[in-house]
Amino acid sequence: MLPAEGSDADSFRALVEEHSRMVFRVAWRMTGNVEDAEDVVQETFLKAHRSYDGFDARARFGTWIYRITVNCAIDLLRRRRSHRVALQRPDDDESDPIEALPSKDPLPDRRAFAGEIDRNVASALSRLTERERAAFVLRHLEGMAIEGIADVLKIGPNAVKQTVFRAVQKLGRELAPIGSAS
Amino acid sequence: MNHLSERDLAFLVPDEEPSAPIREHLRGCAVCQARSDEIQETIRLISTSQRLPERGDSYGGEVWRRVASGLPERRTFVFAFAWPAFLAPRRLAFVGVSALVLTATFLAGRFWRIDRSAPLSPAVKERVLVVALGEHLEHSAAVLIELANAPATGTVDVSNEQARATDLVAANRLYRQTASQAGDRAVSAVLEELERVLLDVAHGPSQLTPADLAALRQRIEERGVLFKVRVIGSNLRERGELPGPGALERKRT
Repeated sequence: MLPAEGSDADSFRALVEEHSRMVFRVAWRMTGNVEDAEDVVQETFLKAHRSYDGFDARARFGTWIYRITVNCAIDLLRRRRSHRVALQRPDDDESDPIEALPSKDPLPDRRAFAGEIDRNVASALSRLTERERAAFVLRHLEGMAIEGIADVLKIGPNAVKQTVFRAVQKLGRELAPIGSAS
Repeated sequence: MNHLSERDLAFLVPDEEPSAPIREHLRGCAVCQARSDEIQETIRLISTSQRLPERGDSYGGEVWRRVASGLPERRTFVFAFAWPAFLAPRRLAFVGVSALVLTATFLAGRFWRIDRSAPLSPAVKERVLVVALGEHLEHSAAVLIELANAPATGTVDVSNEQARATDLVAANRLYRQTASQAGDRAVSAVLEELERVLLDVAHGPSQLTPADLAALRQRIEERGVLFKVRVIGSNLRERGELPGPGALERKRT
């Protein structure tokens, strides 16, 4: 039986439709992979559905679903790590790295260089711990305030700052040669 | 001069105005400004390479269809957890013999005319409770469905549903108390919601105007009571412990 009737089912459907893109965005930034991101999206809403009845502050559904998304993505990354499967860079067919470069170099060189940057960035991100990646994504790609990150990751503000710092430090070390070259 | 910590600099988001003290410090400290620029460059490099794949306006609908197709196996809001726990032998034992015997005797007496003097084994008690509760939920859902589907033109006579709701309230109270004693607040809460609706019907007028009917339907809809009741019944059937929907009617005829 699908929950296609009744006000709860309708309201849940509306929330899924409203927040899907946000959930996908966070999931993709966390996993760096479209297929994994789609898995996280689905798992997030299924988890939300299972505990929806106990959720009593629907005005803050966005925050709640955000937390579930990040945790689902962290779980997925941990599973990947435990299976020693290297994270892939974002799909070529869905992002065009050439547009990121203001260079006027010949097209093949630009494409190759942009691809190299993407691979290095994906590789650097995959070397972060799950929590470091989450903290970095939430702060620097999602622009979330320290309190929000603390709430999502269930850690204190000092730990948030320290985690973001460690992430930035590691990324800086990994990407320093590219940064100077570009 | 004390320099800003690396932690503070690493927390600065590119293109976002820092707090006044940090801004002031950066303005007057070339060392910190240079370090900040270096960090910001790394962050920009990552954010520009992390360009999000497009998801169109129809994406929400697509996600819903995928999620909905996964719900039959994973559905049930809190009941997926609460209901098996409520029926677990350990929990049932905890409920206490008196509540089970009271409930089982009451409901078994209503439906099967069993020998009340015969002692019931725990397995039989559980079975009786499960089947009887399943039937109770099916009866309750039937009343709610009839009210939800009643024609909204002119005055509607709901005296039949009212009489059935009055009967169901008593049984519902016993189940709710049993769930409550078992500490299963989630199930108890749903039965409490169901009881409120049944009481509304039982104590309301037997002749409903379209406005009365609409208000009653809204109360049923507001809390999704019908949906929740059906989920519990469906879970019981999934466990193979109850006949399918409509079996009750077939048994009677």
